[in-house]
Amino acid sequence: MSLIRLEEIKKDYRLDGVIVPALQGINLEINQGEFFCMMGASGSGKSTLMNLISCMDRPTSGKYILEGEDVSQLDKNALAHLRNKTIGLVFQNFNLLSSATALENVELPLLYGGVPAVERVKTAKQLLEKVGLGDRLHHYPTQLSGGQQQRVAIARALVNSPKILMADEPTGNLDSQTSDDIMAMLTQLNKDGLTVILVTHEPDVARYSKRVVLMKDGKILKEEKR
Amino acid sequence: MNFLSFLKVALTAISRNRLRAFLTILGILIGVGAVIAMMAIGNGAKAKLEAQLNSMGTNMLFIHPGAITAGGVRQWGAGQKFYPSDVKAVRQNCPAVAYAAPSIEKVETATTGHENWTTQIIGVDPDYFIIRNWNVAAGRLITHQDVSGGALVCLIGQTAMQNLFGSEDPIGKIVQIKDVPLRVVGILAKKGETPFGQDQDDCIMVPYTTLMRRIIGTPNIGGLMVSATSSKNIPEAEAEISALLRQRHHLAPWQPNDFMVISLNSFVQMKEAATSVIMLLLGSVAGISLLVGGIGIMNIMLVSVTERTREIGIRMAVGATEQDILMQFLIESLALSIAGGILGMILGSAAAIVISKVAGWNVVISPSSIILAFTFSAGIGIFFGYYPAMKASQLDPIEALRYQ
Repeated sequence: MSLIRLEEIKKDYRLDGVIVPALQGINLEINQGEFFCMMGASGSGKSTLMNLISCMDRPTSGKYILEGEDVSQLDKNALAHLRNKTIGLVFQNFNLLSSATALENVELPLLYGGVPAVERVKTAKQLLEKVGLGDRLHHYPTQLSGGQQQRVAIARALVNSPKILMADEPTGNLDSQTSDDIMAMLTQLNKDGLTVILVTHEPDVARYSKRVVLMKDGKILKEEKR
Repeated sequence: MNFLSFLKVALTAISRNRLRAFLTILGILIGVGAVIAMMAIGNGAKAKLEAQLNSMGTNMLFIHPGAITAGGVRQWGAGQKFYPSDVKAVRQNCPAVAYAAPSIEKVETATTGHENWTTQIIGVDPDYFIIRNWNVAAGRLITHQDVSGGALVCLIGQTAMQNLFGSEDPIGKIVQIKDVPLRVVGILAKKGETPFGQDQDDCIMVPYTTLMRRIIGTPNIGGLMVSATSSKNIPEAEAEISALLRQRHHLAPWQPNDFMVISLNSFVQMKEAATSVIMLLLGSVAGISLLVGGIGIMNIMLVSVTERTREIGIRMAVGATEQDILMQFLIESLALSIAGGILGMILGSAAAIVISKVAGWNVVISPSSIILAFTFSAGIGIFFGYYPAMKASQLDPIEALRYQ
């Protein structure tokens, strides 16, 4: 059974009363443990698709089966719960809370998951140690380098032990050395059994993936397996 | 997410903008301060008034000759005069009246061998002391025998005593009023001021018969002083006395009363009306300040929601529900308004204490006013914080994350 199955997914946007189709019937299956990559130019619909898969948004029509359950028309609270427990998100600009320390940032999903304070700190510490930031627990994002910030973000994405890690241009704001470190980390996580979905427009980054899907005009143009 | 976590997030957010938070709560602070000060002053005035009224006597009614209109001129106190027989009639015919005494007073100069003092000379009978709830501090009261015999005795109030006798014991000594020698038989207990600022201890009491015949030389009394059987029976006593006096004065049904019956309650109402004007004024200042303060909180919370759009997006992306975001901002505005409320309580109490020291007003800070102010500021926090919090919780996570 596939972890993610999309059936005829369509998404329309309404701009000044005009309906703009962003996704025009996507069919896609992603299996447990895959390192999957979505590529495409801006406006190709890959961000829209990413938002749907990460449960930030709902499709206009079609079915999204996540772990065997149709989640395409769930309400906002149920989607928030899935983002909290099932899917971890990593962004290009890290999206850390600037007013919170590394530890507090990593604690955040646990906080919304209703985990008691003592356990929160313990789990968040473990994750930060895992990404090599055991000595940066009480640093604020501005006191950390870009690579370190992205590692905090990865720790945060993993803290609730999700099934899927979704990374949107995770190396877009990093130099090539740091990018390689981050991609190595994602590869290692994938080897340990985590399903990784990567969204990028850089072929250099896409080469880490075994399965690449190229999008154009809201459709899947081609699929490559390596 | 539990309340403590929400509170921690809210306090962190507030502490990032201390000056702004302080300016935001200023309106609530002033409003709550005004409420506390207002209630302290109002309660103080009320407590003082009650104490003074109790010193005057309970369930009292005064009956005076009324104003009559003659040739277009209204003359105060020119109505039919009262006589001691009226007192007897009221005692016998009015069941709602517990006690009745004649009321007759005259300002005269009293002299001893070496001092003189102009004071209120009050004509009394034994009922007078019951109505006024007054006793002697030393010596004895004026008795029925004193009254019927027109005895040359008097009781002396403490202010008059100090001025006439200094530290000497006056009992047994002679006071002369208009060449009438009166032997002091008792010293009156201290009473203090009336609600109208009159010193009740500046007086000399003599049997009313002595005052009428020997000092003033008049067959009539000034009026009647009466106490009703209970406060509930005051209107009834008033009606009974009116009916009786109309009959005794031979008034036809179409004629107006030629006398006035005034209850102490009407004075209370007068006095309370005056305090309530001040209360209303302070109350409206407080109300407007609280309203403006609430709008200030709403305004700052709206700014805060906009400023923190990305933060909200991040929180939603990692699993915060609408409810979580709503609670976060609601608790933040609640924390602001309650902080304003607490500071306002301190400020208001301090102001009340300063007022009591400087102006010499009686102030009472009651727990109920503290509870009221606290509840009110919390209510304002929730009421004015709800819209911004709602707005925050309705943000679209994708849009919010994209916000710069």
